[in-house]
Amino acid sequence: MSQDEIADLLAEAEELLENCASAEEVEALRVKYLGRKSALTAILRGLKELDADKRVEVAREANLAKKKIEKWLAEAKQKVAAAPRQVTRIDHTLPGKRYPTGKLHLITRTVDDIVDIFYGMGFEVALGPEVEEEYYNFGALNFPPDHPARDMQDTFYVADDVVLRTHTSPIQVREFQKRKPPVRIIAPGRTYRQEAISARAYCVFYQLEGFYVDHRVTFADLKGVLTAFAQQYFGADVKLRFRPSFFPFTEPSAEVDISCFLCQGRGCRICKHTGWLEILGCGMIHPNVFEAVGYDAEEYTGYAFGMGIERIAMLKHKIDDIRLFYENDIRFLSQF
Amino acid sequence: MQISLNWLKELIDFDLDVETLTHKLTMIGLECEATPLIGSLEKIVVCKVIASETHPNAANLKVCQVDCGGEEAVTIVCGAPNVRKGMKAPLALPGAVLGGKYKIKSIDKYGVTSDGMLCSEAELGLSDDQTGIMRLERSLKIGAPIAEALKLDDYIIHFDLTPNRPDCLSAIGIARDIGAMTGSRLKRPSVKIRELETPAADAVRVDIEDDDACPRYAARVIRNVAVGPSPWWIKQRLLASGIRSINNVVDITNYVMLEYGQPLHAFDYDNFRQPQVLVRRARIGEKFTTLDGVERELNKDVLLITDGDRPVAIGGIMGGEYSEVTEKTTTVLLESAHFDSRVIRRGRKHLDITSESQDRFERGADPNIVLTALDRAASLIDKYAQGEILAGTVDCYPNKIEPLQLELRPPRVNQILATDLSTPEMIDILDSLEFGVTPGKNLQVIVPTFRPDVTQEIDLVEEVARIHGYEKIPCHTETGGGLVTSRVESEEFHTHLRRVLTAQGYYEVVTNTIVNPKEVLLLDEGVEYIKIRNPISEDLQWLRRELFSSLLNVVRHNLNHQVEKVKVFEIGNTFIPIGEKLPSEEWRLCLALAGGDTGENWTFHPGAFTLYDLKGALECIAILVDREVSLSLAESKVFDPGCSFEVMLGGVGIGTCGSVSRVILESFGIKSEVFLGELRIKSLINTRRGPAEYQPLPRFPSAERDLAIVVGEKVIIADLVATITAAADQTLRETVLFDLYRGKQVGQGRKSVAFRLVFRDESKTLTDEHIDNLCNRIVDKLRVEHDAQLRA
Repeated sequence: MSQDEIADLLAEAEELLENCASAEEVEALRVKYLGRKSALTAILRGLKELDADKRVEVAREANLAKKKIEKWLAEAKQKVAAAPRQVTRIDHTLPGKRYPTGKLHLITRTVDDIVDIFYGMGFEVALGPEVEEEYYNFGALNFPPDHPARDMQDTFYVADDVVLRTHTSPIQVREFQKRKPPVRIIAPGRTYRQEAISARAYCVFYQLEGFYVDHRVTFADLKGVLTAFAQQYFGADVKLRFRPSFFPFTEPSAEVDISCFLCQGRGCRICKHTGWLEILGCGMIHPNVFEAVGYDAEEYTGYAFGMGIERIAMLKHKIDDIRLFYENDIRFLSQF
Repeated sequence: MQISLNWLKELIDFDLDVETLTHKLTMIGLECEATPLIGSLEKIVVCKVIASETHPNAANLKVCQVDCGGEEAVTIVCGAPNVRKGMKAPLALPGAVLGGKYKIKSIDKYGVTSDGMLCSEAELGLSDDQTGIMRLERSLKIGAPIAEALKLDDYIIHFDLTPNRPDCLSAIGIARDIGAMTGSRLKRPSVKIRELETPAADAVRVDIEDDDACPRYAARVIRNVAVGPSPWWIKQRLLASGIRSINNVVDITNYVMLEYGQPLHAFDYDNFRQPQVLVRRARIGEKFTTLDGVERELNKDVLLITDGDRPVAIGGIMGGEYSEVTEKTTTVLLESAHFDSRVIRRGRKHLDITSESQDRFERGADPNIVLTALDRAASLIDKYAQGEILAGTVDCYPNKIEPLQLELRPPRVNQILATDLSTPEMIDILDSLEFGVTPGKNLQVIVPTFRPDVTQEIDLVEEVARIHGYEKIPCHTETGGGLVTSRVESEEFHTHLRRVLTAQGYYEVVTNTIVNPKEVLLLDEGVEYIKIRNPISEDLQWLRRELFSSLLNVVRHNLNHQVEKVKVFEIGNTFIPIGEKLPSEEWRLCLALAGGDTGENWTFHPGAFTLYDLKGALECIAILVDREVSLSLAESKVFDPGCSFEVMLGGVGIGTCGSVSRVILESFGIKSEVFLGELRIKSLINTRRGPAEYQPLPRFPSAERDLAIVVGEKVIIADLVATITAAADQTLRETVLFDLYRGKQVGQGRKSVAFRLVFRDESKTLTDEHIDNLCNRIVDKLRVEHDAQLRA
């Protein structure tokens, strides 16, 4: 093969490689120009039959041509790899292939989120029965018989001394009876109130109780744990306000308000233009509760707090009717 | 409880605007908010009618000339029947707005221009009296703005009190807490009594039969009383507290109750048949008509005030119809008594009446304010109803209730609150609340009897804390406590179940545990239920034993609201009576399917749900306990006989599932087919296998053969698999059903079933010959046992 022929071959290869559109074409050209049966391979194989002086020259030319073609091949390969696929084949706006998933009920999600925060702080989880002895629901929690405090909570009775628990606080008493301090527990559960059903009230609702008893537990610890919780759950900027209140089983007692996270405390419809949202009740466990369970109130102190799950979920998601939680309309459930 | 702001200002000095005051009160535990007493009263002034003539063109109207302090008289056309020359009345001038909406303008009335309107009490929002123009007291200055003249420039403070603070059901009680906050001292009203020489003891004697129920009863007798309207300032304060004005004597008893928190009662003395008050329990079946005109049947829980025989009032709760003070009354017997809160509570529950008096006694009144309040009311009746007070008080108080004495250890306060308050600071706080404090290492504290809520040292700690301010207590975020924490195993398992089922497309629901007896009886009759004695409605009476009825209600609700795919589950509690005090509470999982896949995803086809959809979910659940599900036919009232199963896991029944029977669907008003499955979660957890043991990965390749056969419709898959397994040897590792086909090609009553068989040996590569032999054996056995034909 003459030098001219090599030049022609190179010109042809350059043009063809430049116009390659697919990896397959590039591969075909590689076989054509550098394959075992290609002209260049034939030249290189035939070198030994040439005169020594010509051999050197041809070898140089052929090798140069080979390098050029190799370079063009690499370039062509890169080019076709970078080229966009044929767009007509993929419609990236079509939904992905998947089976539609369901969702957790908003009550479950809210309970889980809150329990997780307290679990991370070292609280254990405990549960108690929903059908409860009056003693655990009231007596042991320092509600004297015939005391107006029992009227705060309208109670369903199923027997003379058996009620549907009106709060999760009986779990305190049951856990205290089981063990000695330190006791640090979070206890979610379903509770009942004998109330007419309305947008604001349902006869069944969820509460979450937390309590901690140990040596030297103080009101400052109570403020600390609830501040840490609220800032994790509602946002780091949230401010807390503790107001004196009354619960038979705590003394001192407090209601806790958080700065309204909907209006940043400026005042809106949800916070009734006060800038504050009431989210839970709490206090230092009353010595009479310790007495009922056989703890020494001089040796131990403790705090307890309780919050309504629906109320928190309603605030967070701006839900205006509690009945939606129990109606279970999938158009509601699918929103959260 | 609501009270006038100006009244509080009279009792205690403070320099706080109303917003700051309500905020500060809220922060010491007296939650409250303020509203203006009356809406805008701008451009409403005191005027005097100087002339009044009949309208020339309308006989029922009057044309009045009124003096409202300006240079010239103003002409007003007025239709009220009581307009008289010389009377003073409120005049709304053009520009005034009544009731927040009715704007006053100069207006032509039948040819006479009226430049304003004379107003009734109702039009000003002071009462509901609209019978005529409001008659103002003569002393009021003409032209003065009405708000100023009637002291309407006031706020109502509305309190939402906690049940432990009966002392704050009074102006003095609230003022005392304000004083604790601001450091000022309470200015109690001075009470001076002018008495006749005739002793009250001659006019009445007092006997108490049950002095636990009524520890104290004091009375005064006042004669020659002129019953009539109250002075405006009393009306104004009752108005602020939402109490209707009746007459001067009744208003004064209410006024003093608002002032001191001590309920009083005024009787018409002439209605007593004997000069005696006897406090006794009612007899069973005794009847009495209260002042609201209702005849009530009494029992022993009710305490009566009688004239020795006939009842005149229900003690502490409500007076009687025939003993009230009216215009005709001349002699008043004024009662100031103390009743035990438990007795009042039982009486209130029996009678189902609430009143201002009952509320105060039930929460706990102060037995030692009885005489002060009585004297205060008597002196006001003397002053404003011209009464003459007989000498002395008849006071029956056999066992004086002494104030409680408590010990407070100052270090204990700081220990509980994490504060560093000094002892003098604590003393100051208690002293400002009128607790008697004797200093010392431990403080000796005398608790005033108006604070029945304070019974222990810890209650004093709270008093110190709330007046010191909760916001000043530090906030500690480091904590001690144990390192061992645990979750509840069942709860953890619930979480796993929820994850699996939501991933399978099920929505979680949460339903009422209180169910409708009519509905659950359809599903499960002849079993015992936990029944609520005081249900809120007929439909919500029993505690459920299963979740079926709850979920059928969810299905119905959704189908009725255009939801075409109902795919839900609940993890819920059930209550099984077991003959003990408390029932057994058992957590169950219930799944419900109705409607079908609606083609939410373009890659698969919509179609109605079948039992296999439900079984698929059960199979996913079984993975959680490392088991396989099988269903076995079982009878049930809930399901269709042909589609009613027990759910078996590892050979153990853990629940039921099936297609809900037509009868039940009809009773629930559901038209579509519904599949339900319910599992006992505890049983499910109990089937859980221990940790899986590692199996070495195969070292030799496996070989697959597809086998398609045609069998009769009645042949079940499990039997085919059993035959295949028996015919093969242990090199058969998997038998996967991958196709099931019915159609013309296989003929009627037949179905085509295709299995993929996977063979593998752990010690060598299997030869084709070995596998072919096995397959032939399998096909032969299928033919013999199930009349199976190999499909070409």
